[in-house]
Amino acid sequence: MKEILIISGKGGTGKTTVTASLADLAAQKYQLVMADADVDAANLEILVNPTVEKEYAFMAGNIAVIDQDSCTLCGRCAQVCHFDAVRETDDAPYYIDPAYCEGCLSCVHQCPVDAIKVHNHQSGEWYRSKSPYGPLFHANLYPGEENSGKLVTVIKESARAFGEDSCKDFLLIDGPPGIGCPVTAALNGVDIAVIVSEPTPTGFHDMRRVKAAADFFHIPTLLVINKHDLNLKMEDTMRKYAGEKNIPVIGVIPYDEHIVHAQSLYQPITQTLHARYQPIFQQLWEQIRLHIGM
Amino acid sequence: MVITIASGKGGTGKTTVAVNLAQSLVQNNVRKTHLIDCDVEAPNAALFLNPDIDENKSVERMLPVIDPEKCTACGTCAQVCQYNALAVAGGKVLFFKELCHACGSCALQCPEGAIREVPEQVGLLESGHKERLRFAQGTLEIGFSSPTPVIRALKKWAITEPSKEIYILDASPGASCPVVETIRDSDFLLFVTEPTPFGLHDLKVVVALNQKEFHLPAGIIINKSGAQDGLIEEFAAQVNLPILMRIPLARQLAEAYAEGKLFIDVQPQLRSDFLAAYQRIGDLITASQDKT
Amino acid sequence: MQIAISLEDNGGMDAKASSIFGRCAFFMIVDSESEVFEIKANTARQASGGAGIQAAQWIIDRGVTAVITGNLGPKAFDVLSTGKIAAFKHNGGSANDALKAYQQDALESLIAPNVSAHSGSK
Repeated sequence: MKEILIISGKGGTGKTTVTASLADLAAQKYQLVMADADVDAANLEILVNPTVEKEYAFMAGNIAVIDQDSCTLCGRCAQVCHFDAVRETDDAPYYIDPAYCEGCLSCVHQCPVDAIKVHNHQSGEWYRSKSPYGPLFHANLYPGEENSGKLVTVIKESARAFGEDSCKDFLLIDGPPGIGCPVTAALNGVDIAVIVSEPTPTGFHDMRRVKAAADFFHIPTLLVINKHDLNLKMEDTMRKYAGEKNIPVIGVIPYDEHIVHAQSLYQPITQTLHARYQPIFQQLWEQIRLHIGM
Repeated sequence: MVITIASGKGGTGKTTVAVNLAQSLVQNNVRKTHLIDCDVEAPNAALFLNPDIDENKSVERMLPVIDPEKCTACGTCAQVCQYNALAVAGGKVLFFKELCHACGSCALQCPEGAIREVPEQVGLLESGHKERLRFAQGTLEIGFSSPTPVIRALKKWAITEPSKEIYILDASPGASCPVVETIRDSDFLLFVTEPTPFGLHDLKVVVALNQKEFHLPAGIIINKSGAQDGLIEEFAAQVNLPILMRIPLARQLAEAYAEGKLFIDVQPQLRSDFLAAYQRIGDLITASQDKT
Repeated sequence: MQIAISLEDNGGMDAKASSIFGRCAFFMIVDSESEVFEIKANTARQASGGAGIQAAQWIIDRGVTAVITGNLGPKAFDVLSTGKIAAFKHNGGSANDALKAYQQDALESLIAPNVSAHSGSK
């Protein structure tokens, strides 16, 4: 099974739009499994109409909790915490804020009266759903929670295991924005990363950073320039950069306000704006298959 | 006054709003204004602003170094490490830097005192100005997964007069740890969204975050505004959030953005819209303080 | 000699050998001569990161001298080789198949990591 990740560096360049359209085309001839690795703001479900079949609790890891009755207010926990998680609140002089606690358990060991306990913490949910294009693994990280990298890993590994077991041809992953833990978790082990960028100063800047992240993990990359006609000069600059870095430019998509409106139809644009976008995405899909050796 | 701009969804226009709002305030001689780019994984505000950088500072985390003379390979460090960054095998300690969370637990627990902590750079802070607008940003080193310590250090360094001056913080997309760190200790949350199902879906996530963790006064700016604003308006009414401003969906603005130009230079009436939004933000902050 | 075998299930000697190391479901610890064994759930499976490292540490702490698995990533390999644990690749099949092949010296030795990080089930 080949694994294709769609990333961008910058948010809003069109990853989900591209992923949904590729899924639509790929599913016509191949067996597909999908994963939405943007667990903070999972949007692929808006376009692929999934029905949840199985739901799982996501247990992030441990957090430390102070038993206020046993606490002697010595402040040792606040001294040792490297994450500024021990805060004063109206109810307690020493309270560990779960949003900041990283579960290192240093305070648990250091508390002289053993007043700090370890709790396993549910920080989200993930789902195996079915959709018209194939099974979808997606998640919902509760707001303010940490550990999105682990949740991305859980989704990917489940999607991968499911795909291998049911002999799927492709795992298509809608990636998260940025270059941090969710992106590195998404990058690990994929066969190819398709960078979707835009010809703007920020699009180009972030494309270079995400390319560096892909290089760090030795993942080959391809480039798609979305909204390419907004700035043809910048498109040219990006193509030159891609040439220098040996990133094949596999296609471009025009700036089109119809796409913005078409999102509200809750379908991939290869369906809703079929005449214009079916041929464009067909070409992108063929190029991806070519580079991945399928 | 500390105003944090968040969205949930990437690409709705946080940085655009941050830069244009900051410039509107500065051009109108409002109080001393700072723009702080807290999207340390992919800081972009500088691309629009082209600030002169005067100062920089590295952000470090403390990593363990094991003294082989004192180490008895007892295995305590490997046991206490919650991240599997340490393993003890064949009488040696193996350290996996990429997994280390720099918590200091191993150094504290080592019974032989064989572990000391040394600094390693995880990010870079820079500050400067563009004419009268003060600017600061943080950049996360590639290969490090946690932006939170860099954001924390940036805010501590750059926000020196929160009650006298205006700080506009540009957050990263999403609603997890880096966004929480950015919003912490702010006075107002400005949500930038777009009138699409994506924009609405992700707006709900950050609104829920505010309701759960912060309870800050907040308001919405609709970017790429047009016929489908109803999607957002309906939700905003449900959660009692005012719509402070709309920026139209217009090719002219998209092209200006693609060329790194300010919206307020291309459509000057937006400048007064930003100023009006700022006035309302001030009123909303005061109203919420009066309540408590 | 104590051998560890990564397993997909805990069905005794008929259990299916797992190609995953760090996040496999169970480990069998078996004496290669007497064939006395026990099966334990792999606690590393739930780790946020470094599952391979944690599994390798667990194996070393139990005095195992050889591991039979499928895919061994660079970090897990590092820990095992530093601990002088020999690693072998099984051919699919059951725990019993893997053990017999080991006894007959018919298993491929893993002298370097055979997959990149996080390749688990590939």
